[in-house]
Amino acid sequence: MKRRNFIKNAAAGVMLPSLFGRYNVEAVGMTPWLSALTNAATETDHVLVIIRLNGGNDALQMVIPLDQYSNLTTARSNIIINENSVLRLNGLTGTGLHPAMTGMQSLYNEGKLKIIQGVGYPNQNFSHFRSTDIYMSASNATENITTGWMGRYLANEYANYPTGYPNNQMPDPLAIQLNEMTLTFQGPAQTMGVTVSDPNSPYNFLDDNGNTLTGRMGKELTYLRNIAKQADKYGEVIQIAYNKAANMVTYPNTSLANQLKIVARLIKGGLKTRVYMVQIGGFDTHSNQTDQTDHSIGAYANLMTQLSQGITAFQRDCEAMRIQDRVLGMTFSEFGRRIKSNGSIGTDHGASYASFVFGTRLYGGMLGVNPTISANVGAGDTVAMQYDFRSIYASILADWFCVNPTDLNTIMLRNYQKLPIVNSPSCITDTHDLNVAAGLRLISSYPNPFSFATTIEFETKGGHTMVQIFDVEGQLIATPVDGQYTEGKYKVYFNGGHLPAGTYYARLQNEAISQVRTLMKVQ
Amino acid sequence: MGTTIVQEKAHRPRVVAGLTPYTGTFGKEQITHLLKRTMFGAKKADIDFFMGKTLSETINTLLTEPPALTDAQLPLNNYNRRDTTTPANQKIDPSVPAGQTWVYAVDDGNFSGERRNSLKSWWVGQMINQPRSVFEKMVLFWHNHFATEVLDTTPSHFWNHMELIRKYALGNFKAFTKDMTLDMNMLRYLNGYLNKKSAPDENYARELQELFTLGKGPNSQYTENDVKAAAKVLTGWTYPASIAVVINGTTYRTTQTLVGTNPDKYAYRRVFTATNHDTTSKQFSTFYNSTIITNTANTEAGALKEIDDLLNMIFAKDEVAMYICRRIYRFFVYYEIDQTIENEVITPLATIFRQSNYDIKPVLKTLFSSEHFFETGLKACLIKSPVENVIGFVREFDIAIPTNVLTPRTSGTITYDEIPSYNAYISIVNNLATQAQNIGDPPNVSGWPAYYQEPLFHENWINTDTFPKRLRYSDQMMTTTGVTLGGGNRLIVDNIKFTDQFGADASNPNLLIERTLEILYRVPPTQAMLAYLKTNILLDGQASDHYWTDAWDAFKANPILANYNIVNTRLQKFYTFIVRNPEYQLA
Repeated sequence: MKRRNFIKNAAAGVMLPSLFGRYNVEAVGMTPWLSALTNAATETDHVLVIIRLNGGNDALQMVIPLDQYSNLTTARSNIIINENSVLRLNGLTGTGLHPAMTGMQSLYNEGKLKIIQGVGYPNQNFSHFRSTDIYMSASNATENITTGWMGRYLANEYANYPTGYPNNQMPDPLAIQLNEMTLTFQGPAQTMGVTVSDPNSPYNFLDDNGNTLTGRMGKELTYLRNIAKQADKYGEVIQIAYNKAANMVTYPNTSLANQLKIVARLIKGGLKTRVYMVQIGGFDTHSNQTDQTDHSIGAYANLMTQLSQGITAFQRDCEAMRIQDRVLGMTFSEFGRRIKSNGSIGTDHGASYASFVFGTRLYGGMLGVNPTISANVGAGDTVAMQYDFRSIYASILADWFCVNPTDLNTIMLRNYQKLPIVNSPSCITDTHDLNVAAGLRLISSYPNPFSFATTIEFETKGGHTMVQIFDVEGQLIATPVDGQYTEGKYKVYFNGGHLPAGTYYARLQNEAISQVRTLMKVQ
Repeated sequence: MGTTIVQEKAHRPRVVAGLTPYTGTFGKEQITHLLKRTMFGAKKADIDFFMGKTLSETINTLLTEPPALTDAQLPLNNYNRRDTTTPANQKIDPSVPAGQTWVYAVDDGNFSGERRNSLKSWWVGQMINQPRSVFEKMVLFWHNHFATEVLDTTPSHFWNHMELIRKYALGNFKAFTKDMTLDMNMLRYLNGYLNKKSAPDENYARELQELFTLGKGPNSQYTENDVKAAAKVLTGWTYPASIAVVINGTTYRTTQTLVGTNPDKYAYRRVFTATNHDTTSKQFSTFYNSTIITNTANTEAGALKEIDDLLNMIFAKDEVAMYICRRIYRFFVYYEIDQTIENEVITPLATIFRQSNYDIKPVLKTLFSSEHFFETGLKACLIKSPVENVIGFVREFDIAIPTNVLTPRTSGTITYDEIPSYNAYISIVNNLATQAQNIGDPPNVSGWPAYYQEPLFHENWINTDTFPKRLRYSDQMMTTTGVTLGGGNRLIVDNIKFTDQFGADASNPNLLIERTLEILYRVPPTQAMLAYLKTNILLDGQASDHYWTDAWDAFKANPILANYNIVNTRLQKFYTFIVRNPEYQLA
C-alpha cells in the first residue's frame, strides 16, 4: 500500500476520532494542533531527539563551575577557560557555559534548556565501547544487556512489531537513527528502528517475485523479502514526509546540524516516528583540546560551537514550524573526563558529566549542584555522580511518553528515581492500547507479571513453530515449544518459579515469522 | 523446569545425514555449492577447473595453503603525498619508500590511518585474488574468532597478529591459541600487557575461556575463580623497553623489536618480566579437576611452562572441540544446530578434532566430504556476509581491478604516490563497513553478532539499513559509469565479458539464462522470473528467441558500437535484475 492510501485511510478511520478524544481543552487551543487538522500530515504525539556526543564529553569545560574556579584552574591550568569569557546564565551565579555556546545560553535563559549535573552510573567503566553499551542498553556496569533502552520501550509500545507493520496505527518507522544503527534501538529480537542517510533517495526494491520455497532456504528467502518490503515502505514514507516540509531557519553546515535539519523536516512532514538519534563525534579529547594560548578556542571549542549552533537552529526551526511543544531533545556521552588535565593539553577518560535536555516542555534551570573540585586533584579523580543516567531515561519515558509504572520497570529493568525534567500538560495515554494491539498478535501470556508459572498462548500458521524464553542478557532460558504444528492457537504452561525476578522475553518463531513478548517475573 | 504442551507435539523433519562420506554425483551443482561455501563466490573459471575432478581431489586442493608472501605482496605504502610548492601539504613516510611494504617499519604513529587503510585494502586484495583454497575464508573465520580491532591497537601490531592468523589458518588450533596468548596485538587489545602480579587484569583470562576455547555453552562450567587463577598464570608478559631508531636524522622510539636487517625490520614481540609474574600456585575448580598450576622457575621458560599447563588443562575439556566445531559448522553450513546435528555432526567432528590433536584440516575435510554437507535441505540457506556478498560479486563477475603498480597521480600541486588497485580495494573496504562488516575492526572481542547472536545469527546481517546498502553498491558496479576510483579507474561489471564466457550458449536466451543462474543463484528461480528474464529483458517483449540470438550474433560478427549497445543495455538490465532479487543473497 502506498503512503497516500495510508493517510487517507487513517484520516477517515482511525486517527481523527482518537485525536479528538485525546487532547484536553488547553491542548486543542494550541496552534500546532489546529494546523495539524488542516494538514494532510497529521501531527501526533511526542518525539524525542537523542544527541550522542561520541568519545566522552569533557563537560567541565562545557558547564563551568565558576564557584570552583580557583581549584579548577589548579587542576587544569593548561586548558582552563578565562573566567571572564565564561557565558553567564540567568539565575545561576556559580555556573556558566563555554564561550562558544551563545545559542544555548539564550535557550537556558528562555527556560528551554535544562542542565543536569553529575550524570553517571556506579562503578564507571572507562572503555569507550563498554560504557557506550552501558549507556545505550541502560545496564549496570556489571551486566551485559543485549537490548537497547529505546528498543525495549518500542518493543513494549509496539508489541507486535514487525509482524503486520507498517499498518494504519503506525505507518511510519518506530525510530530513526541518522547514519549507523546503534544498540539503543535494539529490541529483544530485532532492531526497532531504521537508519536514514539520505531521506530523499530511498532504495526501490524489486517487487515480490513470488518465489515460494520451503525449508531453510525458504525461511531465509522470506526473511530477506520481508526486510526488503519493510525498507521499501519505510523508504517511501520517509521521502514523502521529508518533501512535505521545509526548514524555516538557516542551519550551519556541520554534520550535526545537517542531521538535525533532516529530523526537523521529518517531524514536521508528519512521521509518527517517536524517537530520532543523531551523533556528533570528536569528543575523545586526549590531546590538544584547546589552543595553547587561548583556551577558549581550539578543538573542543569547535565541538561546542557545532553543538550549540546545531541545537539552537533545530530548536528555532521547531518553533518556526510550530512543532516545538511536541519535541524534546537530550544529549548523552559514554562518560565525562578527568578533572585534572594531562600533559598533552587534553583530558583522559573520566566518569560523570553535566548533560542537557532541551525543548519547550520542560522545567528549565539546573538540576543538582556544581561538582566539588578539591584543592589537590589527583590524576585519576573524576566528577562524582549525582544522578543515575537511567533516571533521566525513566523520567522521559514516564513523563514524556506516558509509560505506566509497571511497564517502566520492565523497560528499565529496575526502578529509578524520577527527576523533574518534563513539564507536559497532558500525558497522552490512550494511543498506547492501540499501539500495543497494532499488527498481528501471535503470542501472549497470562498472568503477566507472573511469580510462578505463566501460560503462553501462541498462534501458528502451521509448520515449524518454536517458543523460546530469553533473559535480558540474551541467554536462552528455555524452549517450551519446538516442533511441527498445524495451523491454530496453542497454549503452553511455562514454569519460571526458579528464575530470578526481572524481565524475560518469550519469542515465537514460526517459519520466517517471529514475534517477541516481554514477560515480567516478580517475587 | 516444567513445561507442558497442551496439544501433542509433532516432530519436525530433520536433516538426518551425518558425516558419512558423500558418494553421490559430484558435478557442476555440487562444485558450485562447495565453492560458494569455501571461497568467496564461485567463479566460472573455478567451477570449470574442478569439473571432472573427484570430490576428494577437489577438497585436497581446497585445503592447500598458499605459498608464503614475498615482500612485494605485503601491504604497501600507497599513501605518500608530495607537494613541492606547498610543503605543508606533504605527507611522506620517512621510513618506507612509496610502493614498498611498511609492515616491518617503525611504528611511529604518524601514519596509522594511512597504514590501516593500506592493510585493509591489501586484505581485500588477498580475498579477491584468493587461490582455489578455503584459506582466505579461514583467515576471516579466525579473525572473527580471535577478534581484535586494529583501531584499538595499531596497524603494525595488527600485521604481526595477521601473520599469526595466516600461519595457523589451516594449522593446529592448540599451538595457534598458545601463540595468540602471547601475541602482542592480543596482549595490547585485552590488556594482557598490564596483567601483573601486583595488579592482575582478568580480561584475556576470561575471553580465553569464554570466547576462544570453551565458549558459554551449558557444558562450559569454569568459574570466576578459574578466570582469576588463569589471569595469575598469564602475568608478566608485556612490551620490551623502547629502543631508539634514527631515520633521516630524526630519532624515534619504539617498543618493537629488531627482527631482521638490510633493511631493518621491526615487529612487536612480547617479553617476560619476572618481577611482574605471580609465582604462587594457581588453584582451579573441580571443573578442571582441581588442577593446581605451579611455577617451577621464575624465568621465561618457567612461565611458558605454566601457559602450556593452562592450555593442556583447558584443552583436556571435550567442550573445546565441541565449541570450535559448532562455530565452524555455523560459518560454513547453517546456524541452526538441533540435537540431531549436535549428535550426528558436531560430536563426531569434535572427536576427529581431538584425535588429530586439534589440527583443523581433518575437521574441514570430514565436514566438506560429508553427506550432511551436500544435503539438499542445507543448501542455499546461508545468508551471505557482507564480505561474501561483495567479494563474491566482484569475483563472480570477474570485475577488473586496476594495476597494482605504483602510479603517481598529480592533481593540482599535489602528487599522490598511489597504487591504483588499492583505490579499488579501499572502496570495497568502506562499503563493507557501511554494510556492518568492517574487516579488521569487528564490533568487539566477540566478533560480529551474525556469527554468534541467537536467535537470528546470519539474519543479523540484513536489516532495513544494510540491505539497501548492499544492493546500492552492486547496482553501482552495474551502471554504465560504475564505481569511480580516481585516476580514470573504476569498478564496473563488463556485461559482455561475463556473457561471452558461455561461448555458443550465449546466443541462445534459454541457455544464457540457465548458464548464468547456475553460477549466480543457489535457489531455483520461479517460472515467472525465467519468463521475465527472457521475454521482458533479453527479447524486449518479443515472442521469438531469435531476436536475442540475432542481436548477440550480430555483435559477435561485427562489434561496432551500435551492435554493442543493443546487447549491452539488455545484459545490464539482465544482470541487475538477477542480483537485485533476494535470491542472490543466499549461498
